[in-house]
Amino acid sequence: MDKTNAAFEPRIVAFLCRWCSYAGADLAGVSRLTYPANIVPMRVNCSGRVDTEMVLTALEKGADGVLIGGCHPGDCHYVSGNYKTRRRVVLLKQALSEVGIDPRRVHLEWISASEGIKFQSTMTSYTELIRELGPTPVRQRKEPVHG
Amino acid sequence: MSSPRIGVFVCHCGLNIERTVDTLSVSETLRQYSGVAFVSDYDYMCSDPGQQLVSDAIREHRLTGVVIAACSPAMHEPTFRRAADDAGLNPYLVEMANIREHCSWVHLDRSEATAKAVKIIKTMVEKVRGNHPLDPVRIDHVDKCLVIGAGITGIQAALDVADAGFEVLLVEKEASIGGHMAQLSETFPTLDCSQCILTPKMVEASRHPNIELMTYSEVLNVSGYVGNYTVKIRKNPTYVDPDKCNLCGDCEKVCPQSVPSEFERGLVDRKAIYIPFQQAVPSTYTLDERSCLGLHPLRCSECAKVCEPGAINFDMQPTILEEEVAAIIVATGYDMYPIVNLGEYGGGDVANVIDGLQFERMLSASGPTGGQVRRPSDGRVPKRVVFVQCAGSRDPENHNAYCSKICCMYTAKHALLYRHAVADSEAVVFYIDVRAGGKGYEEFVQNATEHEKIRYLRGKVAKIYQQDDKVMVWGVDTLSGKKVEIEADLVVLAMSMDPHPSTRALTKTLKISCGGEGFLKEAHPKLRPVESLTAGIYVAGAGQGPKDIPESVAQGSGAASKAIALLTQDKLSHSPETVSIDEEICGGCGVCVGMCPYTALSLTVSGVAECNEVLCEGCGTCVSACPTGAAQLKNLTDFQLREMIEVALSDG
Amino acid sequence: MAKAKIGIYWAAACGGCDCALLEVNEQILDVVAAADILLWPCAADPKYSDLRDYKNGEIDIVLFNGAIRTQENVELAQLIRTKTKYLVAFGSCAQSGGVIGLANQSSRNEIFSTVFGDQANWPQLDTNKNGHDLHLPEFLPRLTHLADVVEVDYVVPGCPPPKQVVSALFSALVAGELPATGTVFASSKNLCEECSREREQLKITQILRPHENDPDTEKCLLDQGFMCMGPATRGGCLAVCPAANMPCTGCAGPTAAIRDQGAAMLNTVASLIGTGEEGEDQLAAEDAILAQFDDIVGTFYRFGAATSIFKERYHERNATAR
Repeated sequence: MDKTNAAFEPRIVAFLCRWCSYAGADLAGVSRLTYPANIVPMRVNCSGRVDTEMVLTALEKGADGVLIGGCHPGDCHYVSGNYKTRRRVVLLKQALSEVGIDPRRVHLEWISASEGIKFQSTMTSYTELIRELGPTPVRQRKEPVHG
Repeated sequence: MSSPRIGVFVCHCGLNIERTVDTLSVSETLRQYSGVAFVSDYDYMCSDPGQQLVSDAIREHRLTGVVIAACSPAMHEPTFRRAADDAGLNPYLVEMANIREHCSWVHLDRSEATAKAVKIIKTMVEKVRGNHPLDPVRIDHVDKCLVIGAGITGIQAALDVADAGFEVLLVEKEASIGGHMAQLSETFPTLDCSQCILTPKMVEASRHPNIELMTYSEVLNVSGYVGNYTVKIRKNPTYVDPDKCNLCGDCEKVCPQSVPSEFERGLVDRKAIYIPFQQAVPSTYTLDERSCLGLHPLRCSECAKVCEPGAINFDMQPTILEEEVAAIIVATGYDMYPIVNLGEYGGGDVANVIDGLQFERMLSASGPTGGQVRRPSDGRVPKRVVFVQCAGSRDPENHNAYCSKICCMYTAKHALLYRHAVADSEAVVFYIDVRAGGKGYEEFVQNATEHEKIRYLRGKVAKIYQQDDKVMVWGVDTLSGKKVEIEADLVVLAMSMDPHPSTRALTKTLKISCGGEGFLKEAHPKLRPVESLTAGIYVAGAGQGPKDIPESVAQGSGAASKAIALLTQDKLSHSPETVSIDEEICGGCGVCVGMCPYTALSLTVSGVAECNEVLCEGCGTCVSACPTGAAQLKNLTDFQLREMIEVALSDG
Repeated sequence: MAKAKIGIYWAAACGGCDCALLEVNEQILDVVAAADILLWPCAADPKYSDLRDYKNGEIDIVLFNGAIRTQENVELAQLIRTKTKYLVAFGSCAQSGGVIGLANQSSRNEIFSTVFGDQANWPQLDTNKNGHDLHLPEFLPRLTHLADVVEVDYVVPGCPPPKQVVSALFSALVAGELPATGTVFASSKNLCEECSREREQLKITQILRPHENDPDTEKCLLDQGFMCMGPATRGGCLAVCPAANMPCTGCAGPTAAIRDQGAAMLNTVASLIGTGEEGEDQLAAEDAILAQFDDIVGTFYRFGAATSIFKERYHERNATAR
């Protein structure tokens, strides 16, 4: 690998549920809490909408990390979507392990609408973690020589 | 379909965005982006001229979609959707790209922020490209409101809705309405008699032509949706016909079974057949089946034998009522934190350590001691009483982390009333600090400390225990730094307020949420304090968080006004961003059906899933669970998400 | 009308697909009556030159089974593509890499070590034996499917494709009424539609492998904890495996709206796993059920690993980190 990690700028997609994490990100903004610009946020109604295929698609398209932000247990606007996402993430992480991808490239965090500071610290620490992990092996995949 | 013509409008938000995001460069980049037909930037897009700019561009450039790159959709999405609607563009073809809260305000480096803004906007262009015009779902509604809990909050809410001309179903779990306020002696800071101000409202609620009162009843099940909830309520049998009962009390005299009186907080007993308190509404005796010897004429039936009007009926059965209501106000109230949890303060062990509500009953003229302060252990008048504030509150390690808000005030009131009631008495208050925010509150506490010779000791009590016939209170006066040891006759713990124990189960029934402490969760802590996150369900009173009477009443009225605003609408509208099922693909596996928290999904007779868009809230949990891809969220399909992800990760 | 000219080819395949062609029984006589078979390595012994000698587009349709594993597979696929008007990806391997796509979970060296043992025994691309140069086609670093190397017109899924699907294809062929290109010869819906088992879809409380218990023959296998891939798999086979009390393994691939079959199944299963209650106090119990999986790729990607989003195995240092 010729790229050093210092020059490496992680690309991260964050799926944020509209009622908690997206609002938490709004609060971080209103409070002017700064964090790295590596994360492109995407709003979904519920973390329950985030399915495995979307997370894998992000990895396929070159995401070095995928963050999912949902409501704390018991706080889901849609009652229980976050529990389903949690279970999916548990299995997905195991699947990633099986295929030799560091499962930390997918991360689920509960961030409420009032946790602007937690949003900031999560974005900061996750960007740093991904910086340490380095570029995703998926992006560096070489196509087999054929044709 | 003709090729898309998307307009992108980049707001400077004064300098809020412009300072860190180069809007000119952003606009230039977007101008080159596929499908974008028009780009403009402006100082304040949300201003009237800004909105005009958007409307004009929609008409002039025949835009098929609009992306407003500005603030959070939580701020101005409705603004711009309305502007687009006025200009003839379906509002669901308008999306916000949040380059302020999620970009300019949180990044310092201008080139990084500019690059990120471009990505955010492009993802929204991709979303708009895949959006379809939608029309809001219009729903008819019934004209009735359910109020759960008939304490002062629920009563107030019910009266307000009923006065506005709508029918109200007021459901109370206990045998009488009135809640905890009926137990109070006098109320701070004016010291007016609690029952004197409450009972007229209780009577009004019971006589109001628009209010149907259901006491001794519980909400079993709630289904449906805003405007059309179906509620199932069980009325538990009281075994006494309220129409026949003449309150003579003969039954009570012969009843052989005694149990601690809930209303009197266990200071005295009541019989198995009882009236909670004299002014109870409905005004009738109730036979508590858990305490009764057996509801069987062969086993006891003493009460039935003496009941002259023949009001007692052992064969009474629970009845289940099903009602349609448009709105639900949840006013489940509070309960005291259990005193037995405070073992370090002798809670539950030391007879002369009581909680604030017990002290209220003692002070009440209608209470078990006729308004005299007497020790539970021996009935003697206590000469020295220690009041301990924050008992179970503000103690994240051991008890509740939050402040119960009303204890500072009622402790000052207790101490003052005690000093008035008992000559040569001494009142000592342990406090962490005194929180007396409210009209006339600070003055009330000042008066208590300065003129009523109440000793306020700043510090926490470490231990309370029995020694001979005294109660020993060990604490620290943190102002002097000295240890304090007080020999008291009686200790009153200003217990923390808990949400009523029934709250959590009820929130599950209603599919609304409660916070970590178990209190009902409001939609927004500041701007939507009486709404739940479920449309048509409102929260009010101490069930939502500790509060005093005026605040509870205000919230009751607030929730009522929200319900009235809903009830007065001709038709309700519902977001059309719901789930659709592709019948060509759906094989009817039914996985989605169990996913939906709103029972919006079902299998049709032809074996495919069907989504009732009136019920669907658009969470998309079923979409993720669907193994075939047949279930899709309108305007946020898998296809759209994939395109958005791709552009979010692209280089350019 | 002139007789149709058809070809049947196998690439990296087990031979099951060729056998499946005969499952249509006497219908094969109609096929032979209506068409000349120009190419069928399984039955005849053609040479590369025979194929090269056909004019471009001379063959009407080729049923291509097997995955693309070697350079020879690539070259033959490309050659066949020029000679035939329509190319059919026939069977799971041609469609999605099939069960042998799981080989992508191992590197080429690992596969060679397993198969040939000591490195001295590994095949050499070029050797000279007794003065003769021998060239073996390269074993590609990663297995892939037919559509990855040439354009495919039709897909006939299945491992092997079930009789009624093959029959439908033959009928269309004999009648000269092939559907629009892109057609998948299977149901557009998932297998559950064809399955007669009773679903309750309450929850998945345990994860069972087929040998671990005797499934109830009436109830949905997934409800019982058997990882039946039916929900994430196209129908068309009439749910023969569940009818034989075996969970569907997913050989027909996902519906048209799904990109990654394993991911779709993972979504479904994870969504259904639970105790019946959901809440913070249930998380540990849910984790205990989730922990019963020991081979997610082998379970959910049995036929789709090579064409899944991740396609192959990676080698990150901390792949087992949490």
